[in-house]
Amino acid sequence: MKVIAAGNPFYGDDGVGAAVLDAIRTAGVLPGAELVDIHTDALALLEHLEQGAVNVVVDAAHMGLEPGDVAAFGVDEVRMRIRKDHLSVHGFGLAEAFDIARQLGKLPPRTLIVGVEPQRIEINQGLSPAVAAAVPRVISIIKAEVQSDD
Amino acid sequence: MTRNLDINVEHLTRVEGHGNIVVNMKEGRLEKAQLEIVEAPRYFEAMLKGRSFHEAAIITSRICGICSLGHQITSLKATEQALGLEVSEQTVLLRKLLIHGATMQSNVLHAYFLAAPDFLKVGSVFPLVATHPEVVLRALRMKKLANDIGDVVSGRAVHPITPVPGGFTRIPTAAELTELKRKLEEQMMPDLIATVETMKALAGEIPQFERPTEFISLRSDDDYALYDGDICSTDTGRVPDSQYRRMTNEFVVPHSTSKHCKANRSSYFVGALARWNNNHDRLCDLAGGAAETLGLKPGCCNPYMNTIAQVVESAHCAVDSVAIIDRLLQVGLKDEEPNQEPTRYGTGIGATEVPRGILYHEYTYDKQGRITAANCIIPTGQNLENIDDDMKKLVPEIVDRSKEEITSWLEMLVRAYDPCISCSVHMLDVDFIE
Repeated sequence: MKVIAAGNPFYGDDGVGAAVLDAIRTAGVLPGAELVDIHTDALALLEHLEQGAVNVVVDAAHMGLEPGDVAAFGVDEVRMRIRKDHLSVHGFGLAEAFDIARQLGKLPPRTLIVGVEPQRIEINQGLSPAVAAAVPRVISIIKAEVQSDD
Repeated sequence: MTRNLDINVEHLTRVEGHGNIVVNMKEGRLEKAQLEIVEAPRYFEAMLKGRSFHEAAIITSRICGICSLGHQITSLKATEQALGLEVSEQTVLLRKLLIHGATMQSNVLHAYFLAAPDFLKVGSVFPLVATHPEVVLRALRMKKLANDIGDVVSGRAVHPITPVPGGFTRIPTAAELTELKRKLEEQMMPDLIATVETMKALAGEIPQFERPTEFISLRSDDDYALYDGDICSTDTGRVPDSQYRRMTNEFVVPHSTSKHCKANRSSYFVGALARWNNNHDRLCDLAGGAAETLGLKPGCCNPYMNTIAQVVESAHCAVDSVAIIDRLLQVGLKDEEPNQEPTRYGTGIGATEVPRGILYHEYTYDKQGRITAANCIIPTGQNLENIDDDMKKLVPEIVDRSKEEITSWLEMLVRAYDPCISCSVHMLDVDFIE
């Protein structure tokens, strides 16, 4: 299994992915899982998605839910807003990376996205209480995914 | 000409803010042509105050997900100068290797994912994934190999963890560097040659537009300056980096939350084309040959050629990376401890060529080794006034074309600079399918 975190820990709740990886390491759960933090280099996703493995991608996501709500979904279960009018490569995000991966046939069949609805995305360090409280739930979802793999 | 023109291209980029292209022409008279930046300021300089010299580079590497390495290296250099920390030749060589990797990665992405779709008039990279998958795969292969340099040398590609003030906390092994060299020779070189061929096929689509301006980059006596050097202007020559404020002169404009800059004219250009214009004589033969193939000549003042300059210097970065690895292996890797014993506490400046141009960091430290003042000037801020000046010359020259075509030329112009408008947050926007 591979757990891939995306997002910037210096922008409040955008750091939820990194916080989940830290919590996994601290608790010593998910032994054998490869933990990867791609930070804001979304296209690095294309290097890390692994065909034969279960891939779980953790990121803050605007889903229209309450702050701290967690949702797990497959890439095909949602419509991710893809922007095609980039003025700069800085605009490429996970939605664009997933789209390219799919078109290139590099999207592993077992790819799960775990989104956490953010409360605040602004320059500061640390998660809001609602999103911090969501971290154990994210780990439970990932654990359940591993067990379904067994 | 009595044309009326009203162009307003809003590019929403994430939650952070956006850059808009705004052009207004009334009865043939240009009233406005500018790139509006409405990005919220990031306050990193305020965040640095009170931080110890161990923390500065860690914080600044988070300014931008794509330019993190450039910020980190520049930050380390500023800190080392302020605290009088000498670094070894090995440290300098390893840092140069890191910068080569970051430059190749950024240049390749820009050329393939932003510029090529423009030249092919397909709007974005997404149609190319279907029609030219082998080209997209090549771009991704090159990006990954450039990232591998970061992995081997700095421990982690996007947010390097082993470079610290005074050196590195871990030195790569000879075996790791040998493997990196093999990949550079066996994968990167052929891919670069293929890239030059691809760009040659597209070069006829590059807009013909020229505007003489001041080009500013670093310049050194002994190499194609990326890691360090004097500040060099095509107008006034070289000055030491301690003069950086005189060469940037930040000022505020109403239409941008980012400050603009100027030096000896109303605006200046930083980035690959400025580096080419100042340092083409320092490029290796492979890069020089690529420039010839692609029609890039010294003194080029077509901003759209920035992409070509990026491809040319990427060839240099690959060749020089191999030379650096050879040198490191020849001298023998030493397991050095970073030099973290300050010999003084004062002010230091770091100036580095990052992919989009010169990046400046300046810090002042107190006797406890804590930052009391910080100043960061990023390349995109330096280019903004130049982009506006380009637009003001370009629009009247192409005013007879359709509004769509004018808009497309303007977007391509902004993209040629690959501005770092809003890069710190990348978040998914998701609608559940009912």
